[in-house]
Amino acid sequence: MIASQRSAHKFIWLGMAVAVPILLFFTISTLDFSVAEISQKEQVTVQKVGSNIEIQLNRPFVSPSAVVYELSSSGTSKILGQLQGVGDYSFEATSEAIGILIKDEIKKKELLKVEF
Amino acid sequence: MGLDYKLVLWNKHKKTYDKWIAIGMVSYLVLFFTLNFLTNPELTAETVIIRGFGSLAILMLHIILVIGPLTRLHSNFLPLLYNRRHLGVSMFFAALVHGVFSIIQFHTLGNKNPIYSIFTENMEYGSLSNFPFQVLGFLALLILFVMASTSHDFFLHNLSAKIWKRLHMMVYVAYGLIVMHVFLGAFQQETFTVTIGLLIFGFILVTSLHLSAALKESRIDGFKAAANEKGWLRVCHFDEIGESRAKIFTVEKERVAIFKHQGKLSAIHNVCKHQGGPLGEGKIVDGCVTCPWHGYQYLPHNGQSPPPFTEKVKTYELQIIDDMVYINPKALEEGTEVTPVSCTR
Repeated sequence: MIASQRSAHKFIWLGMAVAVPILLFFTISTLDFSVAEISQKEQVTVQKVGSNIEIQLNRPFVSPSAVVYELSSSGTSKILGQLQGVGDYSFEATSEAIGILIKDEIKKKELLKVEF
Repeated sequence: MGLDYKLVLWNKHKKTYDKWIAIGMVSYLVLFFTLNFLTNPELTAETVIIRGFGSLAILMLHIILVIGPLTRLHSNFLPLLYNRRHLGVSMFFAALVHGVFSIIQFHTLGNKNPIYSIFTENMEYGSLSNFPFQVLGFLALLILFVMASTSHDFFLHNLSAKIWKRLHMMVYVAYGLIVMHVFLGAFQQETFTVTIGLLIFGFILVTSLHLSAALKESRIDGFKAAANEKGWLRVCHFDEIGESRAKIFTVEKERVAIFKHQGKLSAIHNVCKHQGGPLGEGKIVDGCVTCPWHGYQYLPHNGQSPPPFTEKVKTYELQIIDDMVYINPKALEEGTEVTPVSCTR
């Protein structure tokens, strides 16, 4: 290394030695370790409003996909749509809707089942 | 006018180095996949691939980053440096597999452009604990791509060693991004203390080695030689320099290597034109100063590589007065002939 590169090298690593631990400290201090213990119902709020099913997703699922199915009284299920991120979703439901099922279609895993 | 592109020349040492890289990577992946399928059979193949190649890339990046300071601190580690570029390119490919599989798995199922999705799927840029850590990994992958694609000597020659080295010092930025990518990702996905603990250990190790090497270099840079009435600097007694070896001094903020060859002294700039290796830590082989990093050679009396090579470094004038070595701090043009001074009393 030439002199300017030696100097840059030293200051980059001094900067890293200070900045990364500070960032980590603040990251850890803002972490809510109780999040993992919150039930799925608090992560997702589901309501039937008229003929619509309203879903409020407060925190994203740790899954590659979240497909919403309508559960009907006849025992069948119908795809309503997909949850893509935090936010409010509204799906048109049939009169037979008795609840919803949220499923990870990639891992073939049931994420949440709610009955009204 | 065209640019002369030469293929990578593999010699026996490079082949051996590459063989060990391949063996190490394959062994790690086989071990990782086997352990995961035995202990976490519910994981999908895509998830195991993402984790396997991601952890392999970060392990390799730590190895790459400790090689430099280790060689500065002890010459026994020099063989590790010989083909570090291939280690870097291999690490990039491991990181690329991790990145591509992650993008396919998490960002291609919606109706957004996958790259756009990386930056917009999670918009909590103001939060540390929920920061979109994927963005950091993506930026680091871009830096690694630039470095891997310019690692060939073609770019080294055409960009110049100074610019090439500056470009490749971006690996430090990539490392910082990757550390935060893994930390934030681990914190958001799972508070798995072993992963976090290993990364903290790695960060402390890499940072402390780099700072130790930087402090050692600072001490050498702090060398202050006394000047005589002509402005020449008195650097040492000629007996302090071993035959076919050199001592390194800092002159006008630059390093100079004073070599002794057949009882005569010559001084050249300490920085190899190839990759900036410390010439003064090498030795004279077959009458040529030989760089300890990759074996580039220069004639001690004129700083020129022997034909057909064309590399040249600056040279310096020396004098011996009362057995003490004096150096003219003003460097001569690269490749300037200087008659070696005799050490005989």
